[in-house]
Amino acid sequence: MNGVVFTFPDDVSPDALPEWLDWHVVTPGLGQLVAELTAIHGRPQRETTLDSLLAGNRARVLDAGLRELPREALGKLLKQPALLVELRDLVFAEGGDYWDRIDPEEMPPDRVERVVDEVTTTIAHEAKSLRGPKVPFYKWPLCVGFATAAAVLLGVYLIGWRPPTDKPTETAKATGVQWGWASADGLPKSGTDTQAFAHLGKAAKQWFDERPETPVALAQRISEFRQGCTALQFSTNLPLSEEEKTDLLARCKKWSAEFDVLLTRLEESRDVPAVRKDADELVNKLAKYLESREQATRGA
Amino acid sequence: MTAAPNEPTDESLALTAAARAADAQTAFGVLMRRYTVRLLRYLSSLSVPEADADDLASGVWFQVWQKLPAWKPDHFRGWLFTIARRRATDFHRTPTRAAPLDGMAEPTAKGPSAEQVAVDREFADKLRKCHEKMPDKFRLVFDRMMAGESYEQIAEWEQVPLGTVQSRINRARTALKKCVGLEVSAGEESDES
Repeated sequence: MNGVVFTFPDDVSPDALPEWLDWHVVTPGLGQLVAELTAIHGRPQRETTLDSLLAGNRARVLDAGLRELPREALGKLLKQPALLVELRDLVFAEGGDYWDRIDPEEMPPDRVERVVDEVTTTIAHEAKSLRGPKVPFYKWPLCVGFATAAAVLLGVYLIGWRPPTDKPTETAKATGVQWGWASADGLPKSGTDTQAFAHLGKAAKQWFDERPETPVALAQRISEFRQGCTALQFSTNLPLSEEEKTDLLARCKKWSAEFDVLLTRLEESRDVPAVRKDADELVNKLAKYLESREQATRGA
Repeated sequence: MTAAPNEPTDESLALTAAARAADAQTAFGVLMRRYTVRLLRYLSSLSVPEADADDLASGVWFQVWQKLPAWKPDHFRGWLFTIARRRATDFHRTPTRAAPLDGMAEPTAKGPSAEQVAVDREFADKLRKCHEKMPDKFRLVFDRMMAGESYEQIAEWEQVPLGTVQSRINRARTALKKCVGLEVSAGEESDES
């Protein structure tokens, strides 16, 4: 619809103008308003940014609309209407419930359910198609685990190595991984939160003790770290407070997914330096988190 | 709709979905139900017709699901609406309209923006020319009003009575409407004379 500027509210109440603008920000036709305001005011001589315009009123505007903005700032917004587009994106991404109530038209609930159903069905279909027999062997964490275990057994036989007297964890027994969280002493068994985070951080950094140069060696190394995440998830006696444990396990799930993505990338690209670099970054990121929790819980 | 204080945050739900654990789809379902209304309204504000908006919203959610494992934990809602904006731009750019859910390519941000799509440029150009042609004494008060100034402020600045400001604004508005070819009501006609 053209001629939007002719619906500009008369000077009847202080809230009429901000409410009129709020409505245009979240409904179709904002582009036309911007074009018409630009036709009237021309290009602004001194451009400002939305951040500096909202300044200390940002949170209040996101919560309750443009009535929270001083009249002078509102004027700047009208003279530089391209900012309204930025404001629109901001309120949809960060705005409170006020912005949902501006357009009174009810959204039929079955519309939402249709979208949810379609996506859910597609996701289920995708998951089903991924569970095929085409997954290469080194993407199977257990397969890599067994291969590692076999290699370790062979090593034991050849060099006469004896396992440590400490009772290994179930995962370590299953995989034979000798470093990181999947190893026998990779997970903390007692102590404070601070000590547990320090233990986990130290074990995680063992990732850097070896620098695999071939795709298979790197796949195995990533897979071993990934198994450490599984060991962490299944651990029943982590010496952490409930709050810390919940947060750590949620992150651990995320890290596991990221290791899976790295394995898939390695399989597809065989690009050892690139994938190793990203794996290094991931390990650094999680080590940084553990370090930050170690410091935060110190003295708590 | 946003998360209530006793409900799981967007970010914790997104992390659960990202991990692809047993409860991943449940967590993702909560996120979808929390934001699909707002997402549909956003697509509408980006000039996506209602007939296409549902497909596009499904495409946005599916892309979010696919990208979640590599998502760097941050503000989930901001990320969701950035993806929506890109896909809306892609929608306006491509003649084939909404891409199917499967095998979708990463949308690009080139081409006309959602704002540019729905603009009557000819009208805006006509408005600019008519506005330039207006006598100064009308244009100045009209511009001040369009910059959010109150009639009182304008009267003070122009050193004229309040009624004069009101009258000039009405006359400016009516003259502009006529010039751009919009219908003028009888009341507006009488204001002008």
